[in-house]
Amino acid sequence: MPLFPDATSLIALGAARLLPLLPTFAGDVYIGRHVRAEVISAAAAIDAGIAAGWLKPETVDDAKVMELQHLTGLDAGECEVIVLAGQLGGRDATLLIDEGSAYETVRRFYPEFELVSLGHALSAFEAAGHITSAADTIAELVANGYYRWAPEVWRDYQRWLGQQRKPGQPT
Amino acid sequence: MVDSPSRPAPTAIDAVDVALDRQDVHAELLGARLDRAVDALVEARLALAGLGHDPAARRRILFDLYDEDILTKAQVRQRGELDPAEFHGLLRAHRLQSARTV
Repeated sequence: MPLFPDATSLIALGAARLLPLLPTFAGDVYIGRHVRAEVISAAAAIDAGIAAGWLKPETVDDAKVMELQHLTGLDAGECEVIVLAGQLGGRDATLLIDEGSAYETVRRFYPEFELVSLGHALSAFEAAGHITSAADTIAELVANGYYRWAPEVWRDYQRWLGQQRKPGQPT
Repeated sequence: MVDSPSRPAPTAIDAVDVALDRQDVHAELLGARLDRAVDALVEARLALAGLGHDPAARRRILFDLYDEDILTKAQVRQRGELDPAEFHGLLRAHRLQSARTV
């Protein structure tokens, strides 16, 4: 599945030094220039991902980005993620979004896309044995100012976690 | 009431158009009111802290409103005149400073 992450999730993954694991969660990962411009703190890891081939820089039609900004009130980076997903991913696209208003916009108006957040990616890393605890990793990111749960993202992640637990398993 | 010959009676499609136009107008009015409410909130918080028109203080309040889910990232950037490249770094610095002062 092609993955289209927003800047918030990339910055958090970069801070946790987990960006190189992203292709284990998805297949190819796509990034546009607006998102890339925001991810200053993880620029070296982004460059390394591009050099390694799993992270693919792509160009979108800026007129479409601006049109979506006008319609949704979202920032250019989040609109670029949505436009890029429509352009390259179609119905197979997975959007990795942690900015609350962008997350809710995609959830409501773009149901054709799979929508996940940092919690989903970290849970996948935990399940694969790459990290010891998704919850601990997020707690550390929060403590260091890199991340904050948007209520919409938290709600869906908790619901998803509940669905993953088997009956009888402790919560 | 009798419709004038030059103005045909409204059709069902006209009614839908009117309803959609009203929704648009309603949304615009709500948006404008929210903008004014946020302006007032920012000014009130600045005044409460005795910070006047300090741009850095205004930015800190905007970041607080972002983390309180009152403003979106786009709104904070616009109101704080922040470039996309500096938003996340300044937000993180603000969160860390806030955590230290709490």
